[in-house]
Amino acid sequence: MSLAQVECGFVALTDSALLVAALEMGFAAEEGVDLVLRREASWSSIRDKVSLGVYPMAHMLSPLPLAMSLGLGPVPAEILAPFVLGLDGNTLTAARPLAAELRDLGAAFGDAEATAHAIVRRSRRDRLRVGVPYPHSMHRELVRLLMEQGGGDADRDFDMVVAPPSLLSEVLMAGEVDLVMVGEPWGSVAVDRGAADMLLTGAAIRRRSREKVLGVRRDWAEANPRTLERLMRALARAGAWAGRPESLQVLAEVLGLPTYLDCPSPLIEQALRGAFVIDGHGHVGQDPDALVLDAGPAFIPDPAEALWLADRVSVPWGIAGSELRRAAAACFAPEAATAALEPLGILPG
Amino acid sequence: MDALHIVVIDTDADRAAMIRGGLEDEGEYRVSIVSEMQGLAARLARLDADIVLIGLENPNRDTLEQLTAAAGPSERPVAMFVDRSDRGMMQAAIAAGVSAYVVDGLRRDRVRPVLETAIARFHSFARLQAELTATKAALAERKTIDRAKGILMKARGIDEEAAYALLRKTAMDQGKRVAELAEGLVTAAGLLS
Repeated sequence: MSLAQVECGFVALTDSALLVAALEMGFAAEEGVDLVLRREASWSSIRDKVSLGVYPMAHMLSPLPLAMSLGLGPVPAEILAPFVLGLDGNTLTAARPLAAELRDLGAAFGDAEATAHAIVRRSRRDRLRVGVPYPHSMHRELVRLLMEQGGGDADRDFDMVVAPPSLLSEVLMAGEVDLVMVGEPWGSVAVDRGAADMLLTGAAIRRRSREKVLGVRRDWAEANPRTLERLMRALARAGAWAGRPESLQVLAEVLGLPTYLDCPSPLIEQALRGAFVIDGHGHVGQDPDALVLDAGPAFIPDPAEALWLADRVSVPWGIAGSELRRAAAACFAPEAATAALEPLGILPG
Repeated sequence: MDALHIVVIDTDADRAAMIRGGLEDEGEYRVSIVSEMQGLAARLARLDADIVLIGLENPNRDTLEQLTAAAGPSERPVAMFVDRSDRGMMQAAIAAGVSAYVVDGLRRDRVRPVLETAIARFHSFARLQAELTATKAALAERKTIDRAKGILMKARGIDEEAAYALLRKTAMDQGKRVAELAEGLVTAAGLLS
């Protein structure tokens, strides 16, 4: 059988795991897909290359297909999000001295509400700057939610700064931001380098957020429905494999390779196992569901989650709710994945 | 009309200098180079650029995205690329590995030559890099071949010319490159000595 070649962009993050595993563990080839992965240094590059047709699909922040479809960016393009590549997977870190102050104010790993109150109190005294990797991201929504939980308002009480994940520790040490919400392993890397303490997992703020999706050009998806179906099956099988505890060490080793994350595998393993070294004293914070790769029914886009996202981003993006809800329903349509995953016994939850 | 102020963001000093040279040859431009990525947003705000050029491989691109998304009253809004209709130009820029942020409202005919020059310079820099890599590899191969010749000369008591002829003939017989065969010989000799 000749394989259908599919090029796909990705950003060096632990939650690129399903794409990497589908390729390296052979699930894609078994499904008849010759998957070619292209690493990009920024979400802007992913966005531009997909919208200009350099390649048809990529690992994307879940709000990105929505933003692209609405024309927020240089080249409007209709992008679908037919498959969810992972739930959660972010961490909130703070520069060491600030983290100590926040703990004195009651912040504690795993306690989002107490941490939120500490952050809001501290920011009212001296305005804090929060780094997120991209303007149209779940990270920004998690920060806004956290501030609401602490009785604050992210749009009024904080400065939001965009900073590249892989340079997070430098950005924190240079004092350009005070807190960062970022995808793993970059939070763990910042802790490991002595730049930061980890305050919370993103999952502690909101569980089962659709963090990354496969973003696919609509015209490509419509022209290649069978190939897309096979790829989605390969990704779901990669997810089931990645969900087994005995796979995690291999997965971390593969992700750590120079062509993928180029990062020590023990740091990658932290998010996979949900056990994080959170400070310079070696204290460990547990959150077994910090990153869910074997999402099962949640591989299939959930219309309720799409509406939630549409309503959340209406204010920060400055777009009317009705327009967002319509676009979100089109982006996150569940039908394609439902049909593709049915043979694997995975049905919408 | 004031000279356009172009800011080149690049951690590679050689490439930045090449782009600056290219732009200054082409026209009346004021070119600033930013090679330090710390405090990038603040630095850019101070520089008040008309056009910002940045390599696609630079992760700080997402920081520039924020500037395009949130333009306060004091900031000058920047938009990506020349304008949305100029797809061909965007594709050429992406292929060359450069992206451009252009102040809103700047006339297209003023932006185009800048972008064309940047695209050309990005291409020639990539070519130079490729040539450098190829030259290095060729030098390394030559060293290996010289060592293999030396081994043969000593082991078989033949002169340099005969040693090379032997290497070349054996390589041809085995369908290998001379350098490949030489590499194997050097490794084997190292193991046996």
